[in-house]
Amino acid sequence: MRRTLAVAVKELLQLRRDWRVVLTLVVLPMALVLIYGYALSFDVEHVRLVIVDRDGSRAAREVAQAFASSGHFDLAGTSRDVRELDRLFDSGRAQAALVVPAGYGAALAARRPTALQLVLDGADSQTATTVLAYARHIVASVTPAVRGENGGGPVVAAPLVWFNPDLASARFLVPGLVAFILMITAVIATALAVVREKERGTMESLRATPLGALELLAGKALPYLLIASAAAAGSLALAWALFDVPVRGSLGWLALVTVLYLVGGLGWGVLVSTLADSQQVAFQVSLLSSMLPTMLLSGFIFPISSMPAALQWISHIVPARYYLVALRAIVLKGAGPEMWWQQVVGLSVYAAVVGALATARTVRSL
Amino acid sequence: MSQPVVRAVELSRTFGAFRAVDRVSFEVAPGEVFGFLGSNGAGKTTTIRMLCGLLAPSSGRAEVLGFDVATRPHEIKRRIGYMSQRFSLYTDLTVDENLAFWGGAYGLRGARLAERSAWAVEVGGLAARRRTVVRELPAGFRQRLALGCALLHEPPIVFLDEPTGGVDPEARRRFWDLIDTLAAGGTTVFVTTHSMDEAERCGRVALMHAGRLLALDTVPGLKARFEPGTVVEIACPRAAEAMRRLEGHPGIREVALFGELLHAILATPEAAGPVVAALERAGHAPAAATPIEPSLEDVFIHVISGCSTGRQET
Repeated sequence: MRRTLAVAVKELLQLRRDWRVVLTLVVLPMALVLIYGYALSFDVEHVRLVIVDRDGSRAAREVAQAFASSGHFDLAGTSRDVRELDRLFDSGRAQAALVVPAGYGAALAARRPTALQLVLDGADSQTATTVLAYARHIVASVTPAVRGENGGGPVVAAPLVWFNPDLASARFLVPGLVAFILMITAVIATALAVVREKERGTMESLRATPLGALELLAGKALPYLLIASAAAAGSLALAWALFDVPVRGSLGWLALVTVLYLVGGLGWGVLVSTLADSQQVAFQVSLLSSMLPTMLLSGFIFPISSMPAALQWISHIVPARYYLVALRAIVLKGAGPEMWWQQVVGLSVYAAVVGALATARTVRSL
Repeated sequence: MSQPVVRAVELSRTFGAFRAVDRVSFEVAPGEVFGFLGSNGAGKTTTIRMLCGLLAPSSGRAEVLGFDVATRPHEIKRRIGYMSQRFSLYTDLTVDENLAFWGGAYGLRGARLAERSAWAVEVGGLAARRRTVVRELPAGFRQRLALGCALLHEPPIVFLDEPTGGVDPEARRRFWDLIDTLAAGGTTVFVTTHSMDEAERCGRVALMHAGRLLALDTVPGLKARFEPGTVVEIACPRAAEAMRRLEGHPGIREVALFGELLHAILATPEAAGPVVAALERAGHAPAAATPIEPSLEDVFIHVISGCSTGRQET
């Protein structure tokens, strides 16, 4: 313990002289939250909409008005001729067109079924799908209930979204970002800190002391654990202030799960350091091995359930997968441990296995 | 000789097909300054790393302070000091911070750490530089600090692997004064070097070449391998040309050019007369041969050449 502490103090002293590293480790994650928070958004706004009103009734104007005032669409023009649409789409003036057919108002008045046509630019399928969903929502809100043929009321599916009622992507993304950034900084910082000793030749002298591998690694990891935790707290605070993502659940649980996740990341960093002999190699290996899986296989952006079976299986060794579920549950839902204890098990197993491998490899290879 | 501090028996280490250390046996007594002399790649560092428990022997065995290096390296590490060939200080920390860290790594703290740090500062002449970042220290100071760090826990034996590389002669002399002080205080010093001057200051010297230990004795003992009068300095005109004439002469074992003079090892002391006569006949008059004391380098070259022609002298 005393020896571990000596290593941790030494590491902190070295970090104090190398303030750029500390700055990078704390400020960079927060800057990333800021940049990604604004840039990485799946919300669609300001869609240029053209309205082709071939009916001219009051009901037609109401639908058009509802679209224009929804906030998702900008009225880019009106037209009476469907044939004009090609030109409007090609020139980029329109991204969507709402076609109100002749007889729409009359059909509604007579309580006969009728239809509206929405023309979308499908080149960007993601945006098109989102716009379609908005349009359905708007249409449902303005058209009067139509009596069903056998006398019952029409069945209307009323979606009710919990935890993120307006489906803002910041809420969905911020926890993922925190997981992403923490993993990268934890892995890189530790890998570099260990490889630096090898590069400078001090590792040889450390090995000739009674310092055990575990004492050495724990001592080296401790300061980075503190810094990464500070970065996590800063990122969440920033997300709360800027993107209105409050932490609904217990901060204690959040800290516990985060530390568990970081221990796994630090362990991975040490494991990388046993494979690399130069800081450059260590940097690249740790960046790739932490960034790609965390981005692609954790459910951060792409849902795990829609991945091919093989990738789903691989995702089980990506710690961010477990952390993200727990983090979203705690931050967005305020859920207690009964909802995410399996994730804690996953994180613990990962941390234990990676930690044991890292220690074993350090004992042998350094 | 009391219980040896280091005992190596047929100690060997191979890396693939390469035999870095080849069946080396020796003992080191307490309080000795024991030198390992050899060129780069002779197996000195590999031997020292095995003795410090950093590298497992391939065959043979070694004990340090009574502990087997293969099975109880941890016990050894707690009791030895080691100064590696590569620089073993943190250059981005100050003198005091380095002392505190290395002391902590050996488990020292509180009053003992303060007392030992003060000792290291004093013997290293570092009093005015305690807050200096090591990067800014001259090489000689760094070397003394590294030695101090390796001795914080008062080990009975310290292993120094080429400790004075890149240090000016004055700092080197101070460093060796420090080694003598340590040895006088009872600390065993095991030091590797490829410098003949440094080897002269050791109590006993082991000559290493290509993984083999070729000779082990005190410095006078090693020099006594030559019959008195067989090592001579020859003065004559056109020495370089004269050297070529002497190669292959029956009275000459080895001859080398030393500036304007020839340095020769004779087969017998009586060969001096015929060699000088032969030179004068060949037009190198006047020639004169003066007996000199053999240097450690003479011994080294002699032993190595004996090894390469199959006359092993272990």
